[in-house]
Amino acid sequence: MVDFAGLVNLLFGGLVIGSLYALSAVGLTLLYGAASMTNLAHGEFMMLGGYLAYWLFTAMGVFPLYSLVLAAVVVAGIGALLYLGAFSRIYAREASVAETESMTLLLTFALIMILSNAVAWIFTPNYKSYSAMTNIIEFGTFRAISGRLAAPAMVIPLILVFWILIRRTWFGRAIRCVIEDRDAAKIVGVNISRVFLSCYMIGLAMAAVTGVLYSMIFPITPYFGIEYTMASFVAIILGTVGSVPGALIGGLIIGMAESTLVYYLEPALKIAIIYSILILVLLVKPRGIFAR
Amino acid sequence: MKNVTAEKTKDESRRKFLKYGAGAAVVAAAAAAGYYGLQAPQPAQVTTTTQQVTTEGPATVITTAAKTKAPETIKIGHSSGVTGYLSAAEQICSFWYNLWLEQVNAKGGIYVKEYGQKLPVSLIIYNDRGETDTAARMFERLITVDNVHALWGSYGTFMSFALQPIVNKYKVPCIASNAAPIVIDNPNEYERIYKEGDYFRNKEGQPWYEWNYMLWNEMSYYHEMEALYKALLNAGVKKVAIWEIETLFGVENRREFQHFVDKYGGLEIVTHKTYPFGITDFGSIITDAQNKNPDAVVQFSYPGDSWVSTQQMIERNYNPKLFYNALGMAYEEAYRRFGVNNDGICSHGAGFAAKGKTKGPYGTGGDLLKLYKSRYNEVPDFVDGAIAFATMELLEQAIERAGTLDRQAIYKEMLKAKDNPIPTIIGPVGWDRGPWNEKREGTILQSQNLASPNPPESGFDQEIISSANGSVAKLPGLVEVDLKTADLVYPKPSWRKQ
Repeated sequence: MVDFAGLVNLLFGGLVIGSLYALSAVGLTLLYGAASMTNLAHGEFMMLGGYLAYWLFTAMGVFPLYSLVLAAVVVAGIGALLYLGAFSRIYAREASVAETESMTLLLTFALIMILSNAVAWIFTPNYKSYSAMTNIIEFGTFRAISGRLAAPAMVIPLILVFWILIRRTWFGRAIRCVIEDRDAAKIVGVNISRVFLSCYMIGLAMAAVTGVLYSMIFPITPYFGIEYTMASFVAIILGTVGSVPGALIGGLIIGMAESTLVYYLEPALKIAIIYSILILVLLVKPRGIFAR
Repeated sequence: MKNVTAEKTKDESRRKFLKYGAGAAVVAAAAAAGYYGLQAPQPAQVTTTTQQVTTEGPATVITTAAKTKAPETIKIGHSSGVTGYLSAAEQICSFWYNLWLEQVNAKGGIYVKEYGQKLPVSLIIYNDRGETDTAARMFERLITVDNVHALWGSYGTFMSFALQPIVNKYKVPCIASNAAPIVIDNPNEYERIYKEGDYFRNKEGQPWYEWNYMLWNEMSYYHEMEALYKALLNAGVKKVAIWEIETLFGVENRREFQHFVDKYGGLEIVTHKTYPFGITDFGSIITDAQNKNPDAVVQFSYPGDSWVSTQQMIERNYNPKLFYNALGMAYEEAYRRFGVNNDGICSHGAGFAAKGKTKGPYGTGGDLLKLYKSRYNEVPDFVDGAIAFATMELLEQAIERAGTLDRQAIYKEMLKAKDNPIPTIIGPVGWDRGPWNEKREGTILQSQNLASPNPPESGFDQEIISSANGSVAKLPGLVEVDLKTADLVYPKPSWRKQ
């Protein structure tokens, strides 16, 4: 049996991992829910954010918390270019949602190869790591490096702010309209193209921010993204596609399960546990926890 | 008013044009793909030299007129995962074999007695992306089209086994460089071979040297784990926690270590956890170890997960008296990330130590470490890179000893190394009872003195604290030399503020 201190550490570990999954999932649910973009390269944009933070810190001494903003801006810009240069042509065909999803899936599959190989070419495929925010904060018997504390401390408020944006602003209303019914949104005058562009920029920026936070805690390679893409898809399906609170809760559930259940079972069963939870939830609530 | 019929006809014509046009484009594209696809693959790297060939040779040899026309270069072939999931490992090795190439060609190349002169060396390297079937095809090409004089294998234990049938078929000597020689997966069988004076044999009972052309540069992990076992016993360790990565490396190391614990006793394994490649959270594993309170934590790790566990142990202030973290700590990124907290951590010693006694044609481990740092401005990997360099040293000397580029002659010369081992920076190489190197010691490294007032330069902190080559099981025919450069520091120092 684990003692109280051990349990606190397990739960904290779950919170850290879960918050990273959650932020990544919120970005993905925006892309998939609103823009029907099956972004297989979501983890690669996260990887880009991580490498930007690594490069900015090691080459220029930029503190990683500043890199959060820089990485978000840079990757949002890349998202805009990708949308305007490539993905907008898919939407212009006015194909069905299923066709759009398959076409974006193929395009983003190619992006996985391009991004990971480009980063491997620039930085080498070796593991990279930097030492920032490694001072230890203590609360009684509980200890954590400040970099790990930063993850939930930044992610949860960020997601809450975004959720308020979605619920309380005209822009957020437009996004929700598009998620609910794209054709109806068009009829009432929503500029679908502008909504898509915004979703691409915000969704990928969130992936980049996740990558920066990840790089503060873990070593990075050009190939670590795919695992986060898969976990993000599981999280958004768990929490209902298109639901921001759903993505947050879904990410936290996976993170907590990964950290706590593996203690009682085996770390080797980590992936099996995540997908077992998905199957269980889908059997009870096929459209996810937050489905109406 | 629009002529609907005319519009319809025009539309039909347009559709037909697009249909046939698209069809023609597809056929043309397929034909082009087929044409270029059938073209020979180009090597990922062909490294040649512009060094002038000299007629100088070893001082003791009288040069004679060449009997046959010398080739332009000595061709050594290699296939590996230049891209793909093994590319990080291949990159580590590529720094070293390119360093060797510079060194060997800087002195004019390798002296080949048959031609009475030194010949420069070129490496022909294909990218197999870490795929066994691609590697097999690339090896066939190296042998039958590029006509290489010798080969060294693709990175990874599983690769060597995939390529073994190819090199055996064509009878071309190949060094399995960065691969564990798991030709025997049972340590008891390994011990039997030495105790009975037998050889590793195939199913037909033939001894290995009659049919096998794949020779491993690495010794069996048996001796590495023997050295670890000895180190733990000598330190007075009683209880051990094992953390094992789920790869062939992790499984093999753990199996060999457990063999010593189970058969020769003295240690108790209080917990054994396995974890997947790419793990990001050691929380539950560390919590388990804290509860079981072992004297030593033995982690069979890769770079990446070795840093995650170390970081989280520092965070939780979990400091076992001995921490063996197999791969990744004697590494530039680890020094950058952990700094003084590397102090006291033990690691896999299959490579070399800067102060080690082993020496090859280009100097000791320390000499090569200085050369590497001056060339690349970072601390090298102490395991894979050093093994890669040693592989090139041994190929060079095997060719020089053979005096010819005939593949069979080179292979025969390699077999003679059992009586006249080939020196390399990681130790002597020779094969006798099996195709694994049995002339080298298994060694364990420990980072030391990083917290001293005058800490050593990164890389020069690694001391050999244990070495072994058969003494525990008293295996006859193996020579054990004490390669220790320092005593084990036990218990390891506490974690320090980063």
